[in-house]
Amino acid sequence: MVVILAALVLPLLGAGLTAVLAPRWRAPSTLATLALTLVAAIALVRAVLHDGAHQVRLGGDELAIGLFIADGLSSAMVLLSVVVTLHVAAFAVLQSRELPAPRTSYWPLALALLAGLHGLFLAGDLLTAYLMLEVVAVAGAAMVAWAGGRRLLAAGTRYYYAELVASVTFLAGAGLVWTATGTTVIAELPGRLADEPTALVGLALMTVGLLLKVPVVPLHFWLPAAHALAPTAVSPLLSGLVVKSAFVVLLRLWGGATAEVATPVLAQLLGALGAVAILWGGLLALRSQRVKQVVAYSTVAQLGLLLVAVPMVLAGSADAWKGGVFHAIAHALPKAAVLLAVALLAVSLGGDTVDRLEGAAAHRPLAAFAVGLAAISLIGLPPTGGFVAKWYLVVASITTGQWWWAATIVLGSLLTAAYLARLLQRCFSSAGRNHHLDVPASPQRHGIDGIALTLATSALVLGLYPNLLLGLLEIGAPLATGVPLLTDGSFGADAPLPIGWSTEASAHA
Amino acid sequence: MPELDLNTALPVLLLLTSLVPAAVIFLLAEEQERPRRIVNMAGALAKVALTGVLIAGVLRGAEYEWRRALLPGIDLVLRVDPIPLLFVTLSSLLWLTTTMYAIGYLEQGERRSRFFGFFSLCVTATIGIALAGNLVTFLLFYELLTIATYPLVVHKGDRKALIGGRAYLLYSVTGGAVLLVGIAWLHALAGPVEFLDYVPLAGLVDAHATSLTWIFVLLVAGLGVKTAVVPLHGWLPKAMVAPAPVSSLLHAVAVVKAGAYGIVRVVYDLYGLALAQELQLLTPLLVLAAVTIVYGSLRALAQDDLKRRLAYSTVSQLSYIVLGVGIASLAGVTGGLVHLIHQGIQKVTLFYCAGNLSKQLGVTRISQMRGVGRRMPLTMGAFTVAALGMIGIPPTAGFVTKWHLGLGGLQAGQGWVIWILLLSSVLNAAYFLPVIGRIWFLRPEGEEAGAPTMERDHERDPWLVLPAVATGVSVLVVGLLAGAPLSPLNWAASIAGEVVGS
Repeated sequence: MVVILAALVLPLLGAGLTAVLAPRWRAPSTLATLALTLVAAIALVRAVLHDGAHQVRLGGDELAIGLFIADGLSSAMVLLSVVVTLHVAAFAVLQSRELPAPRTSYWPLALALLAGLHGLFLAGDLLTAYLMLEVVAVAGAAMVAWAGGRRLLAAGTRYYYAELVASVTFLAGAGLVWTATGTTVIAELPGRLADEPTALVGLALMTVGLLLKVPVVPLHFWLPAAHALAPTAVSPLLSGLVVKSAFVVLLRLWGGATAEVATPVLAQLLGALGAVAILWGGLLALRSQRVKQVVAYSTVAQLGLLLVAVPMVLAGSADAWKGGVFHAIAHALPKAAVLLAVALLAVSLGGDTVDRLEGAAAHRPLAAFAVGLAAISLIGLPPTGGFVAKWYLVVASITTGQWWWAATIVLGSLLTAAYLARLLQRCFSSAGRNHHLDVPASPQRHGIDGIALTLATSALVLGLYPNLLLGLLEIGAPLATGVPLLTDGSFGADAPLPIGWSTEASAHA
Repeated sequence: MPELDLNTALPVLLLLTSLVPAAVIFLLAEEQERPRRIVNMAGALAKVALTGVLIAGVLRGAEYEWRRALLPGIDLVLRVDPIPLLFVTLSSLLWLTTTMYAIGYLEQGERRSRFFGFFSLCVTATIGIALAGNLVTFLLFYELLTIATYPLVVHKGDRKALIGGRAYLLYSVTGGAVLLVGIAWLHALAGPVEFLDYVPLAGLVDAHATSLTWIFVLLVAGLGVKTAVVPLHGWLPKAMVAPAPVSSLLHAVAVVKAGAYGIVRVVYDLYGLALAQELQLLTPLLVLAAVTIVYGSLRALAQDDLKRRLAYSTVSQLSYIVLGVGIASLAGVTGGLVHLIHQGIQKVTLFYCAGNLSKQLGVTRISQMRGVGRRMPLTMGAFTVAALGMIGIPPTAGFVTKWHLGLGGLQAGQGWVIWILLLSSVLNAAYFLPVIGRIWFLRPEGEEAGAPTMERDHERDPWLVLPAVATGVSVLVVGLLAGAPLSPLNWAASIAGEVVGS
């Protein structure tokens, strides 16, 4: 299938080309590559919408490798990552008027990161997933570490070590699963795990590795420093996209493979980890003094929401699956918008602490408006993408009888409102140290503010027209149909096994 | 998209008459005063005109509905039903006067572009709340109202404004979250439910009576925050630091009204009076309203700051609407519904006048109000009429309300309501009559006897005086002409007939 390969190969070729070009050609070639990749991603989504899920297998007769699956989830994530990266890259081009321009190494790394993300979203076997996890880890860590300065080097290194440990753990788990079951194709795992202790250990290892990558509290220690210190044009990619990539692998792994081995207790435990992340991240965000730190802890909290969906998904709630995946997508847009906008505010107001935001709304209204609009989606107020996700999760929690998740979700959105209101309140303040800035900034900067605003607006559009995305996400997704994966007390052995994507691998491959 | 005939387009047009001005105003530069005025007034007038078209159409028997799928199984619905039309009429008329007033009040002020943008957005949300045909649509606009009002509350940007804004946001977002849980629970239980469609809920009574009761509690708690029902009222007195036009919007046109209106719709159009009675939900509501009425009045007594006193008075007066909802009889329902209108015009007048006092004379405290009647006779005349309305003295609007509420209490066998009404009227009198006396019968401070300084310059600005006088006169008119065919009272009574009959 050409479009799958195009979405993978285009950013990779672009990265290689950009790396060898003279520095002044790097930004244009990155933008050109991204534009082409955007076309490929749109073609991919159209192909999935028209022809359903399909796959392509590049190599390996015995040991599957290079198996890529295009279904609703992966094509949506591919499109999302191109859109976000394109915005961020355009921002990086314009930022040199106010902020230090990104280093020349930034451009090929951004494309390599995108290629890795695409590979990870599309990966259908464990080895491909591992390789792509490595690409994402190396490219992401390098973007942090090479941005300059010792603190960034330290943060980037720590980030890379965490990623490395996670990758190796994942690889060890994948190896165990392969020796026990004889396959690395994720969709072939259901039915082969239950009686194999080795495979179960392998599954556990892979899960821990991915949880470290997502990251889930208490494995989140590396995130705040890396995300908060990362350069402006890097942190939206990390907070919006990279953290979602491991989640997608988790979803594929659990959705098909672990239905038979996950017990209700285990499911609740994962949900509880998510709940802890929501509360802990929210409280720390409330106490952080630096704006980007607030946003970084906010990411920890919002990722917890993804895990909260898990016990409800395993209880057979299609709504929970929709809510969780929709959240993974809807969160990226406002999160990227906030990170870009607060960077502009920080440079305009002369500092990146929360208190420095005073007077931002009067001084730089477009950027402040972007923060406000994005906040509405992050809190989950209608009519935004965040609301759609929250609505499905709350309804799922009530229909599955697991009402405590509804309480957690509501409490989480109140915490979100509280720490974001802390920022907005400063923006609307006219008093204080920034009083001399109480005049609008010159309008020539509106272009770059507009990029943040576009991202924030797209979260709004996603909430006003959610049906297209919801329909797309159902394609090739067994969980979206609401087959109960866990019945009370049992291991779900009686439940009909969800039909994986592989069994209906179409002729397009 | 169905073909675009007028009956589906009108509800949307009604929204657009403030949404489009909002967008245009955001894009206007700060110093483009005249275009902003024109856009503002054109939008407000267009909205009133469209409301007139709607009323005429509904009298003819036309039905107006617009819907669009939001999520699978959930539609966004805007529909003109009898109760919505009542609320739309109130908001669009008061938006017109309040827009005029705000233009006058904020002349030479700062950040007017932002102010009027959010101002228009606020009214868009209110109209959306009014026309919402189901709970999800209602929630969407209810949250939009919170978002659009916050920048107005903190408009001054000083410490006090920010504290007030924080309280407002904290209460409102929490209320919205509670409302969301209630709506989601109902959705999980009954599927998509629309207003005035009683079948889905009636079918659940036998199996899920407890769930329905809890859902009701969640919905009313979520709405009660904006309605400022005790003990959820804490934000309202704090938010009164906002500029006077915003206070009018908060207290009369939009915010608190949206909460009370929501309770009205949940009881009458979602559960239905019969089901609410069957589940025994009304008596707790009645007690809640009674406590709020008395508590608000008592607190109002102790305030010297005029706007704070008015704020506590709102807490009290708004619960007359809730009281009416709790009284399941023809006169009771009538009294509650008509007070949606009456409280609006009375309270908006009082806030216009308070704003004029502080803007023209710098008077913000009741102790400073000695003899201000001589300096601003028109404004203070309007103030006096509205205050008498609050007390419930005939022939003002407030009297009509209290009469029907009392009558309704007797009809429903809840005679004790009359005692609450009497007690509250005594308290109303205790905190308004001395103010009226001070306005008219005490000499201004520092003024020598027999040397009247009748400078009338304070009432030169028609943008400020006209709205106050217009709404003040309307307090008298709707009271005097309560028997006329299209009066709010008759309108409310005809709706009440349907509500009680259903």
